[in-house]
Amino acid sequence: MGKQIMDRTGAVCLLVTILVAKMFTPQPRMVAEQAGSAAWLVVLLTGPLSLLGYWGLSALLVRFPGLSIAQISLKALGRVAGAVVGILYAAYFIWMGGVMLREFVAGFRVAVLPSTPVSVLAMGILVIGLYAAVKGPEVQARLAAYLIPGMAVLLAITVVGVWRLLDWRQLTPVFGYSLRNTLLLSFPLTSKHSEILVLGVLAPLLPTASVRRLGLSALLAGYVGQVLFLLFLGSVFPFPAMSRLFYPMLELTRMIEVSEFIQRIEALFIFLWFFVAAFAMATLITTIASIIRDVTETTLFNPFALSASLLMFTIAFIPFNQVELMWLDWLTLRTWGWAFSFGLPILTLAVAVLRGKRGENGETPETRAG
Amino acid sequence: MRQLFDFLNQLFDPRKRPAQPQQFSLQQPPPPGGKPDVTVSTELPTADLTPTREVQMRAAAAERHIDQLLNPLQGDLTDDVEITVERLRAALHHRETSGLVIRKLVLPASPGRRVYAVFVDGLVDSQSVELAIIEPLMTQTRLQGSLRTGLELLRQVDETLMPGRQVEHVHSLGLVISGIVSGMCALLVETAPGILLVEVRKWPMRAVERPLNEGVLRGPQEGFTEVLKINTTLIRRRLMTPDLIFEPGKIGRRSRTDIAVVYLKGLVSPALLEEVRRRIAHVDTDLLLETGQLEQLIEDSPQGLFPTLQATERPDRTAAALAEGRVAILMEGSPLALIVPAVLTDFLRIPEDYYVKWPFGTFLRIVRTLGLVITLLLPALYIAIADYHHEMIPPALLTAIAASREQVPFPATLEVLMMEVAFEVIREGAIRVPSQLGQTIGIVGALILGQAAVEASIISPILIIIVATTALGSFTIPDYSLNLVIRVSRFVMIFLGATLGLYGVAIGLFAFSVHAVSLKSFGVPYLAPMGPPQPGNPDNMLRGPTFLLDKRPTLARPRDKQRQAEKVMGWRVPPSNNEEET
Repeated sequence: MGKQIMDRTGAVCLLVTILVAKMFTPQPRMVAEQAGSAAWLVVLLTGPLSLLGYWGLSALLVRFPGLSIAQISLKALGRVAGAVVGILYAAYFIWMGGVMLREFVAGFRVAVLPSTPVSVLAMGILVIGLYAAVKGPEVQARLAAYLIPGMAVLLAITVVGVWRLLDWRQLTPVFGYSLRNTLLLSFPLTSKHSEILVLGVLAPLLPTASVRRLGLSALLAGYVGQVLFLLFLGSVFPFPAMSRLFYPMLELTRMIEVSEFIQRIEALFIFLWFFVAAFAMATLITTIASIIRDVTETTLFNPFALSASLLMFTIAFIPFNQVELMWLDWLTLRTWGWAFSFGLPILTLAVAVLRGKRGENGETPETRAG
Repeated sequence: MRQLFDFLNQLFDPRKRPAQPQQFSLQQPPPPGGKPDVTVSTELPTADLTPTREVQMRAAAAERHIDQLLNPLQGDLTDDVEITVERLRAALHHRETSGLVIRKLVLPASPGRRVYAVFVDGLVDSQSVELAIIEPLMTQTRLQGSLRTGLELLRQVDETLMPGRQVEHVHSLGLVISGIVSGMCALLVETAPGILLVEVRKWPMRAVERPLNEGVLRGPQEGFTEVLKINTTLIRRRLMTPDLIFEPGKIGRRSRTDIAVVYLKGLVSPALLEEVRRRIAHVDTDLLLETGQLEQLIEDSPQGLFPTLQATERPDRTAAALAEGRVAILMEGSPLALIVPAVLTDFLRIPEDYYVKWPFGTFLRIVRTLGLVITLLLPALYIAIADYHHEMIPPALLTAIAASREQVPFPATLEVLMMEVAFEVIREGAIRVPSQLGQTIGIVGALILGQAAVEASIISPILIIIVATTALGSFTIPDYSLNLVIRVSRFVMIFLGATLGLYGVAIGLFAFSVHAVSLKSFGVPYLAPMGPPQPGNPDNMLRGPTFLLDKRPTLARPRDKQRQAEKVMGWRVPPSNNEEET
């Protein structure tokens, strides 16, 4: 995979897609289980916290212009500690990829192919994700630029289709089970935005001066999208129902009523769902392979991408069933994801400041700008 | 080291060498006196469009290689005409081949001095050889002055006897051989240094006819032919500007095919032009007979499915592309010009889109896009929905489909595959047989065979509708290369739809999208101008009104972005009071 320059719009679309891909997994249900009718509020409250975490990540990327997050770790923390941190990043994404893969394919099985083995579906999505990963982030960014409008159109159709079922009273009580519970939940749920760490891999392909703004735009767009989605979902389904639906997005599309003649169209949404899923897999594989490549300081990409896919495939089959899968997701990714996406970069930044480490030319875009 | 560099520089840089005829070079032959023969009037600053050193070195190396290939008897020409003729006989295999004519003449004005005319019968115009070469030499009433030296005689023959002919004075046996086998007549004069090559080509050629595959109802009905000169004329007629450049060149070690790189000076991006030159100069092959072969050797992704160079037989489309700052490549023997760069939307457009009013042009584009989607997906979607997702089919329609398939013994997938394969066979058969039979085959295949298959309960009527709609959809795709891509990909989609239902179709569609997104045509993303978007360009998938198309598409990075005045319909602007008074 050679050096590529990424389109800025495409980069933002890529990050937004990976941030909102969770809408198609059981994650809305998990939040509803924990927060009740305040699911949307919890995610709303994660905003300021994730912005704080993002500040650390972006400051690190700006301090080391043109370097990826793994390269920065090596430079700021030294070879051994840097490699450990890089491997932690990679492991986090591999785990995330495995869990998301299982969540996606379990959903497809429920929705369209009930008699097909999950492994076959997982294989299909991984092979195609690997193909997109090998094509590189520039291609993924251009694809995302198509995916975002497509997603917006289909979501708009969904909103219009189920508008008749909206009942804003279902959002009460506003604070869910309790205000304290809502506030306490919002801290670990900043992990919902942990995919922004992908920016750390894209940074070398972007103009350094715009990295911070691009990441912020994507984070805000993803954040607003998730809040609105949960707000909408909460006003369609009462929270006891929402906390029992494995795939709320699928259930939403099932409730679209087009006409008496055409009664069910949810299978058509499979295309969008699949595209988002395959795209997420491609981005995660790219991220993992890039991190390992940077940590090992080689130029290899494809072997690492293949290995990452195999690991994700293996991890996807650790959970025995859907309930176990969600439990694992909540326990690992949603509870501790922030530690990887925001905690490690802030830690690295702190060490870099203490050790006086900077980018190659010792200047940041800000200092260059005077 | 420095001296070595200077030596190599002189050796490989044609501008620093003594002037020699260009044989394998895309460089424009330098005009006499070093000045342009036509005054180029352009308001734009003239870019440096001369080929880079890499291209020049490559061309020079190819020239030497071809010289070695064509001229087994290395060395300069001697003044002894008999030796030269013997060398020519040996190089052209005179004893083993037919068609080579060597006519010996004795000049009456200079008694005893021999002249040889060498040409290949069938490649030259016999009448021209007789009237323009043999007869003047034999009568030579116009020869005047001293004819003591061979050089004087050669000059007299060139300037006095053949004023209406294109004549080259060459000193390399390789060039002489190359000229003879390409239809020129070589004139060897005793004691004269060098040889005259006289242009007397006359090849059998097809007249300018209607384009066979790019027909329009409204618009010019002329198509390119196999003759490069005619094709250049067809373009010149549409772009009568001195900025229109045809850079000549030769390609193919044995075929020595003439090609021309065409562009508009002052408009074309120098980087794009240089890239085209570079790629052509690096093509090292024996034989090139059609632009399709060249296309496969210079495209960005030779393993990609989609065409990334546009082949067109329409001069008006080529002229329009040149006016957008693109580059065209013409080749002797091919009735198709190649246009670069080309993106996906180019393959769904036809010139007629611009000749009709914009709402209809837009409508036609939508119809073609719909045709593409139907061709690619309809059979696969039918199988996926019929086999896996019955719930999507309304009950009344489901009952009708089930009733129509009641007697059919085959699964839907097999039914579709049988019919699609049968249709492809009919289509291929109809193309390959004479045109009179083609229609009959179509009727027999489509109507009689289909009807018989339905009556025999082998195929359901609904499937006939699916296959017929798919076929009609494929006919709306205007470009043959893209048509092939979609038709072949359709079978992959059918397989995926039959295996995994809509999930499989989604896999195929995702792979198809990733592949298309990853392609580039001479550095331009294949899905541009939709992605990355081109703001301010109303000529994307939809076509904006003509009066709004004031900016050129930026795909080819043209140096002049303004295509027409912002107020192109100046007559609609109310005249000011002063103008009224005047």
